[in-house]
Amino acid sequence: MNIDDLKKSAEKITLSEDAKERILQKSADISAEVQPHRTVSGDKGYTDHVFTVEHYKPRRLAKITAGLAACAVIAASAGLTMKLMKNQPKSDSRSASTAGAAEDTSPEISDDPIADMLAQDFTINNDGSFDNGYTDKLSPYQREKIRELLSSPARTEIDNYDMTDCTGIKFISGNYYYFIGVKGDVMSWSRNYIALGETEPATLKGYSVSSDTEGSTETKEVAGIRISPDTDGDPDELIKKVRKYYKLSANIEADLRAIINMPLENIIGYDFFAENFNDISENERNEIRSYIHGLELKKVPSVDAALRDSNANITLNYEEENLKYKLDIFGSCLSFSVTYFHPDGEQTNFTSYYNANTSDCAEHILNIANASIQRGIQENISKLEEEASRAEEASRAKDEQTAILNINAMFADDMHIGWFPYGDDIGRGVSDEVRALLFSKLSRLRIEPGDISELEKNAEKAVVVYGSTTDNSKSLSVIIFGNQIVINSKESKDQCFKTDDEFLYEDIMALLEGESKDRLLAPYYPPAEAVYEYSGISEKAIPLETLNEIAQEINNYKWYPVSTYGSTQDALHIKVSFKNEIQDKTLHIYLKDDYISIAENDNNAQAEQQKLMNNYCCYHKDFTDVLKTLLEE
Amino acid sequence: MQNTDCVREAVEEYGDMLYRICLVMLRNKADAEDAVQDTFIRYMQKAPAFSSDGHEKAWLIKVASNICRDILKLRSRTTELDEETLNTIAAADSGSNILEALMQIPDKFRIVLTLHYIEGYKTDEIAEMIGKTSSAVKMRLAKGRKLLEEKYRKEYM
Repeated sequence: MNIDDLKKSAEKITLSEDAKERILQKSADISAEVQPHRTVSGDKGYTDHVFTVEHYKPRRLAKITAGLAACAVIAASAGLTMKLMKNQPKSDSRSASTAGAAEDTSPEISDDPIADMLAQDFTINNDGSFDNGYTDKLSPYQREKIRELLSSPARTEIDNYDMTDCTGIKFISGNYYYFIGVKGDVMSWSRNYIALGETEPATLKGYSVSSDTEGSTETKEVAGIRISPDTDGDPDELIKKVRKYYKLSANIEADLRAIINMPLENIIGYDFFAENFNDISENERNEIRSYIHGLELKKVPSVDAALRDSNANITLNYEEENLKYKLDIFGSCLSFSVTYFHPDGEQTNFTSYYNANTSDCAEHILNIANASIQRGIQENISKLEEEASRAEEASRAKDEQTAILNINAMFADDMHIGWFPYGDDIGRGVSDEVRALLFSKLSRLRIEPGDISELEKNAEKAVVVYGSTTDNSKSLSVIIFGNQIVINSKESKDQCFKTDDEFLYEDIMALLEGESKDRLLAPYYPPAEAVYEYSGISEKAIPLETLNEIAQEINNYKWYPVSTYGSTQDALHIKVSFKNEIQDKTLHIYLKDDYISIAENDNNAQAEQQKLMNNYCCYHKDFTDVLKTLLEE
Repeated sequence: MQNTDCVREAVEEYGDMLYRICLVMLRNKADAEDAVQDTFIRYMQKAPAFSSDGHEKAWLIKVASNICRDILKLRSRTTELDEETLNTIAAADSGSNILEALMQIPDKFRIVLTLHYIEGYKTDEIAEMIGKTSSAVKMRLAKGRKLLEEKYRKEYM
């Protein structure tokens, strides 16, 4: 679904010419008949009229269905009177849409609007000031991620980015508050100076976020610090934002540096940019009611604005249909206002100010407000942590699944299994039996994320087990060190996992070392003939005595089965034939540097692949020299 | 009172835009036309002074949405989309169905989505128009988008 299509589609809707003409005709008719209409929209201030009094019963507000047209508040020493103008409900919607919007009629009256408001399910907030005492320290995780995010060196500045709907987090430090907002792939931040409750917006800069992948720049989603699921749609997307911390690109701005350099320990609190943090329980609401009802109010014409900056600035709100009630408590003062939203778009606001001994009351209400905010924050933190934990678990499960799939793929039928010590590069093969044992061991490991950096520390005690096809088109390997494994494939990056097997390396090595083949030549006797050649150029018979010496020497070393010969180019090649009534086999020994491989050909085998079997190799730097010496003799 | 020439000019300038908003809110062609008519009558009668074209447009939207809201309040039940309105929406959608999906979600979300995504107003401007707080508008936008997405996926994909 593309939201831009909405605009394209909607723009095709037009008012018909007939309708336009009808409107103009109607306007012309009314122009000739109707007199101008007086409204109360200009009456924005305190109104000192007294209207007919009838108590406005609690819950009546919820029942108002037609447009309430106007209201006024008047204060007496002990209370207030109020008149709410109300239209009679119209039975016909079309007549109501004209007349209802235009006329102010039937009065709806209350002699105590504050009590009326308190009778409703009002809400509470204390967002009127930034230093009202509620703080919530950042968790070490949040702190670390914020620093990580802001310290990333690369950013691209962008201009005129609409940050409407962005979500983010506010920080308060000294006389500044900072806002970091996130929307799509853009992160923005702002710094505001707070002076006497007023904020002066400083620069608001947006930055696109990108990551470098093998030289190409790719736009990614930005990291988020704390995002309310309620304000940004898809929870999965949010989690992605929360969990991913990409490197950013381009310049570092001064204001950003200021944030980065600011000791995060000095950040006194944060305020999530989300709603519904001010939910209060009915018990709390009743408690607030009891505090307010006990107040003795003395009406005053106005309140010095400076008083608004006092510590306890809290607001009780109630909103219903076209009416909004607001009760502000600040310092030792209280203001009560009713705003009426006219059908024609105008607003009429009536505010009364009172002096009252609100100190105890304000403190109690503030505590309730703070508790509700904290609850909201905690609820959202818990929700996010829960989601993050689920995402982490899902991600881990996916990684584990991939790892197990990779191990399974490594042991596929077309794969040759081999191994070599980490740091070496020449493979040794394994027998079918060990292959099965390895598979059984590796595919049943229980794994969790590991630390690949520990590989280098344990490099001497690390072994690589690999699987590859003959043409090397597919290859997978597992590096085993301690109780950790690193899985490497051509398709994905190295994945490191910790296993539940403390002696994994030792056990795997025992399996692999168990493949060593001593007394290789012992079963072969007596050899009928033996020759050696060097790169196929010359061929020379080997005396039987020499051959026996070679056999003894070979028996001193461990031999490992291999799946292929390896390179035999430039290798010393010894052929030993065993041909008698029992067998007709040729043993090929290749000597090259410190690598010796032995292959056995069964000359009686029918199929080619059966002729070449039982390949072994051995590593010993001196062995080649020993053999050469023996042969030269 | 505004003279009829001014009204004609306003109808030409803003008639389509107001009709779109009213149609989305009321889901009924006849009611939408009446709401637009009532808006221009209010415009003529009140003859407000505007500081700019933007101010005039915002005033008209505010009045139209209030009139729509009054009509909605007086409806005893949610009205189904009639065939004529459906045809209008379908013709405008030209296969994308997104407008039709929009018409299926609750009206309080329809209006903010319309003002934001169709008319291009920012949340604080919408808040001013519909008499809600900016954060309430943001909430409605976010939830409205989600509802629209769900409706669209469920019924049109």
